[in-house]
Amino acid sequence: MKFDVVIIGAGAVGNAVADKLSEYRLKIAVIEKEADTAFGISGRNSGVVHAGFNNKTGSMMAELCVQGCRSFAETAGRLGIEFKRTGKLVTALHDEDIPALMKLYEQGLANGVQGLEIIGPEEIKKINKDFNGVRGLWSGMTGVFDPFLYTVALAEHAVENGVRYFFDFEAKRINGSAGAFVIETGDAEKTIEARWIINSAGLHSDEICRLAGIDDYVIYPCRGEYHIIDRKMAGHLNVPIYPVPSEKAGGLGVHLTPSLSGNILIGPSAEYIEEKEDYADAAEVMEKLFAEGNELMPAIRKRHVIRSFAGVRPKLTSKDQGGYADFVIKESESVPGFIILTGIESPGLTSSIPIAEKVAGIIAARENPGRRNDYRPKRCWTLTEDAPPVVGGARIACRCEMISEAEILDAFDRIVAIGAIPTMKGIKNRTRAGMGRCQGGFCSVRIVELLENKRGIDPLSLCWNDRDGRMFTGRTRP
Amino acid sequence: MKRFIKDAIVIGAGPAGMAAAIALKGEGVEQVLLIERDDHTGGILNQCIHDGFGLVGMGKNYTGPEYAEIYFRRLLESGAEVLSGAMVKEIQEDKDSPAGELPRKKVIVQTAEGESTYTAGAVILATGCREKPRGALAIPGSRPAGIYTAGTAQNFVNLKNLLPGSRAVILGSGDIGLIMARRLTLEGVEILAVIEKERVPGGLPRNVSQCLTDFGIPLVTGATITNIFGKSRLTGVEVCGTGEDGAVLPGTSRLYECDTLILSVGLIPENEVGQTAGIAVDESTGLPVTDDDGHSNVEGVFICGNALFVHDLVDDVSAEGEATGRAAAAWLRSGGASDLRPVAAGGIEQRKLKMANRRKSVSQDSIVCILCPNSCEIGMDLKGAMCGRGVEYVKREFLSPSRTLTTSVRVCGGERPTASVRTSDGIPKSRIAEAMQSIRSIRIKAPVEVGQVVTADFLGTGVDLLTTCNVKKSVASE
Repeated sequence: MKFDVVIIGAGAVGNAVADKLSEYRLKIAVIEKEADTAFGISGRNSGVVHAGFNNKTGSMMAELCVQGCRSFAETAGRLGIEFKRTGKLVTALHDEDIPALMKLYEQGLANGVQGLEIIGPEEIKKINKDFNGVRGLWSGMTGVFDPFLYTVALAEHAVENGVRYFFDFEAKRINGSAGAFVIETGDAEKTIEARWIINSAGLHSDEICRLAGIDDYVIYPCRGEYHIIDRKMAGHLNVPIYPVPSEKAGGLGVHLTPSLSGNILIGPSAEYIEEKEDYADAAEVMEKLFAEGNELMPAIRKRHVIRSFAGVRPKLTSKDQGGYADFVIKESESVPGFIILTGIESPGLTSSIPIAEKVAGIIAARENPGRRNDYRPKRCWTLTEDAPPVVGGARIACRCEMISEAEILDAFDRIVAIGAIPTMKGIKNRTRAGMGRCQGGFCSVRIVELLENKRGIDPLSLCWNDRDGRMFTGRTRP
Repeated sequence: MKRFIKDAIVIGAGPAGMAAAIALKGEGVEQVLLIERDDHTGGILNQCIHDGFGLVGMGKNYTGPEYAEIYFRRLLESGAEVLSGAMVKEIQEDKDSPAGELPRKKVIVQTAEGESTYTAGAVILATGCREKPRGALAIPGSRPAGIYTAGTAQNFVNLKNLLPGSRAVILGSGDIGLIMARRLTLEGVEILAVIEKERVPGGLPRNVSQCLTDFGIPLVTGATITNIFGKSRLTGVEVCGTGEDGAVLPGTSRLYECDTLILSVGLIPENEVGQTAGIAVDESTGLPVTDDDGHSNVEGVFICGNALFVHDLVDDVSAEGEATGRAAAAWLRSGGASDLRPVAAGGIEQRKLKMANRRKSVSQDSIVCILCPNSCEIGMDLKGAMCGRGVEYVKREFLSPSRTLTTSVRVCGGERPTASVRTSDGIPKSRIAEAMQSIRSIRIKAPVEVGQVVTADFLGTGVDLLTTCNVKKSVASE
């Protein structure tokens, strides 16, 4: 198979690049080693659109984050997903935090962030009576969104505009050079040729660089764990609340985020780990997270936790260096035609569209692909017959989140439509079925039954998280 | 939206709800509607294919589906109306209640046909309970396939003909955990251990005896799971001993290599629907607050069964459902006389009693009678039995121990792949493996009715193999 552009990695950035490039007369493919889109770090984060005051003035992080935040409402509208500009509070709990808070404010102003305001304790209480702090930084531009739906919507929109996706397709070798790359997977049937390669492999972007003979980058995986709080506590948190981050931390500190679904997220921690995809929870971190979350909001109890999860930051700075390196967005000097996107950690989601525009700029500067005249700027929901997805009006499959059977089947069809491999996680990410307080105890049975009866899926082939995680090992009776 | 007017509405057609609806009709309430989210009545009884139901209330030993069938027939005779496949979304005060009449409740229901509204003077919540999922347990580690709550696993095994794994560890020695240890063992799953954090098992001694001891399954008390391993599918769990305070003891770590973890760590009364009506839930216990009749703080809203507190025996649930039905009828008759007595979180006293009772261990040289929930501990001197049956049981246990076998057989052309079966009486304990071997190859044709003889004089034991549930013909095979 020959393509003009092959993008490695179907996370938010890879999908945004695919989506952007689909405006041009280019034959585009996205390859992904996992079964589905948003299975890596794009689906494991706070789901916050950042305003851009946390990043160093003059950095690409600051510039692209501010741009991405400004245009996010328009992006969400174009993709047909929900986005809520909640605003956000950074709170100085103690007097000694105030200088760092003020520095953040100044940095934000210098970065061109709008809607910043320094507030006192009374105004903090006005935002939320449960909040504490001696001084606060209010950011009016910050908002929350659903990172799964965002990443999925980008992929769907890209597919609507002709992009091809290949899942369970891991790049193991990269041969050839500019204008004629060959990506091999170890399976002769799965080989792909490209004029351009865009490396948006996130945690594995350093390894992909090495496949192309570029040894300049090392990713230091830094895990961030979270607790998810039952929706019944939703009334307690109206806006995200953050402590003042320490510069050395390399993260924004444990914060509370009210998700669109009404859950509260506590997290993330910041732990440098050995293995890139070690998404396990650590006992001591779980304890500490809870304690820190409880400090920000005393009403939270341990029994309100319905699930814990973890993401991993693809950092270019080691534990000893600490802090942040900038995004790397450039065409390799040694391997022309190979575009490197690495170190895309937070605020990567917020910056994903501006990152994609930069990539498009690199390609457009070298060749003039010309715009397609059949490009559709808005997601049209044409991937399945029932477009857009049916909500309600049918039998309920997931009682905690009130997700109908029709929505489950629609999600399944959309997974198939982009070429992904159906898994319970893929359905959960798209519908929220199984994300509620019973964690799939009730709906997993219904979903298995539904997929068997309505889509002919043998339960024995059904996978949980990824293509190797089978749910069942056999039948009780032949 | 369609609107219907009733006198009383019962939510949940499990044992509590069925008994309540029958009692309401018995007390002369005219329009009684029983709403069930599943396609069938019976609730969790349908998947509890083991025996031990009805020993207290009916003096007979039934399996779950048989017990449900008895109540279903009574329900039909009572003339109560059943609405199945219907999920209650919300309960509200009916603002359009005629002046001078009882203030009515508005129950909003979602079915395959859409949303409809039912109003009634009295609403009884019999919504049962749900299992505590992994996320609520704060167990560190990864989140692979192969982790099931006991009830979900029970549903897959008993109703869907699916095996969750091949080597399992069970966390929690409550009755469901014990029952599942036996059930999975009969189906060829190797149970490495049942892990219990308390010093004594949580379930009835009769279940420890007939589910663990009979099959030589190790019970590890004073221990808990401290880590979970595996990326795609579970590969193992770490178990550590715990001190009296529940803290993990250093140096006690042990790894169990398994592909399945079954969680049986507690049930949570399900009152989310009730809370939309405004029922109060006690902060410390999480249990709803009612008077002795199950009348909640919201006038006209009653709660019974496991939604009120988690009962050990279905017989108690049925009795409570019936009492609550009668109380609601009396309240309706009195024109809603507001005689709310002092209220307290349901079942606290019963819970304390339960905890006190379970603080007894069974000595080595005695036998636990498994004939009823009393679980009498009978010595070699035949002392300790509360009734003559116990003495007979011990004698037989020495001479020729026998057990009632409950499992399932394959059904052809049915709306379900299997039908539950039982032996009409005990068969020699030594022949259970042989019996399972023989049952695996049995195939029967739908339709199936309760009490059908599958094999007369099963294996020459003089005992028949009987079906214990109904299975209709599948639509496709008609």
